[in-house]
Amino acid sequence: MRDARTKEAAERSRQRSVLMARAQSGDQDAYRVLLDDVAQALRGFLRRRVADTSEVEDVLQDVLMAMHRARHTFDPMRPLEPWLFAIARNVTIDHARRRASRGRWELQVDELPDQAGSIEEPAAPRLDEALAKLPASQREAFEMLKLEGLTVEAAAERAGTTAGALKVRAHRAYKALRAMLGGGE
Amino acid sequence: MTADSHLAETKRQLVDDLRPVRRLWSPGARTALWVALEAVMLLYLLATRARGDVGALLAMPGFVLELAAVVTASVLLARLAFAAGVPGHDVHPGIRGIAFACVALAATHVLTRPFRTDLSLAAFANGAHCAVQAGVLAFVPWLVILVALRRAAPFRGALAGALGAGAAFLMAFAFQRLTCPVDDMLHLLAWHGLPVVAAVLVSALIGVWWLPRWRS
Repeated sequence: MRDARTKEAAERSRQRSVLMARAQSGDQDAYRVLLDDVAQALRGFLRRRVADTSEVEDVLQDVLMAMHRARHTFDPMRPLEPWLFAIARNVTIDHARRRASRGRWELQVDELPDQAGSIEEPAAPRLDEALAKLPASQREAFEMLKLEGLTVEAAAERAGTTAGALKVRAHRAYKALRAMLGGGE
Repeated sequence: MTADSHLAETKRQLVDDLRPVRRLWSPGARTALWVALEAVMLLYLLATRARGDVGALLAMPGFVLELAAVVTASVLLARLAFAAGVPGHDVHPGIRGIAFACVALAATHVLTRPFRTDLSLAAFANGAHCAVQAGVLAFVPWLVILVALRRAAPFRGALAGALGAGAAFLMAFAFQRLTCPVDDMLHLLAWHGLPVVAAVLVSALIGVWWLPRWRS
């Protein structure tokens, strides 16, 4: 029984390596299958490591993007998992660091003040304030596409990245801005 | 938009963005090429700038041991640096220990060299020339490692940068022992050793700033 499971795991690992090797050659179908497969495995891995479960999906997307950019470093003669989970581990560590760093700037108070600093209703943050809170790469992608009206290709060229990666950045920027400006899904 | 649809969108964009890539050579192969580059430099130096008593020095076991220790440490650090660019490419933890033991062994031998306090301007100028020469000898191998790392995918840029500089400048240290005629301990520590330390620190900073850019 145990042998059968070990054999099954070894076979799956071998298949993943083959899929990644094909993806390195530009095979989109193989890559699609691989992404679906590893996303499942990564989700389980991240759920055990990311403290805030609501952030697991964000970290998962970061891991997939890091894996995409590092795909040329994978050696098909080796199993995929050590490579993949090393990426996932490092992305998780970076995420935890960023989270801890953000936490240091948030002031925790024991008691709420009797009177608010202003009697006016708090206004929704302005777009420029919300933009300032975005990571530089996302802000740049949003500004080039939505404020300057550049095409994806032109914006990607200016940012020194690929069109796909720029679209992912812009997509994440929209999502963050929607959350900050109070827009619905 | 739900989390699932975000993920589906990300996967779709990654698939759309997929292009064939040129696979990175293994850390072992890259280390071998780097060592070959250093070997060419060594042959050139021995042919053109070797100190006069190099034959006698190479007959001294202490000197040979120091040189072997520095060269070994340099190659091991290069191997560790190249491995730092490949996720999950773990190097045996003992390699790090051996590298540091080699550096300690070489440092111990340097500390047993005669100590002559020479604070003259000529000694200072001679030392400064050695420090500059360390930079010149190490520059290309250091750059080769940094560019190779930049093409890879290092997560810990500071460590990768520091390892790269350690490898290149330790090899330069070994080369300088065959070209610089001064065996004074103070000279070796200040003008041959300090450039190694300084380069490691500078390279770690460069690594923090430059090496993790593959992710953005």
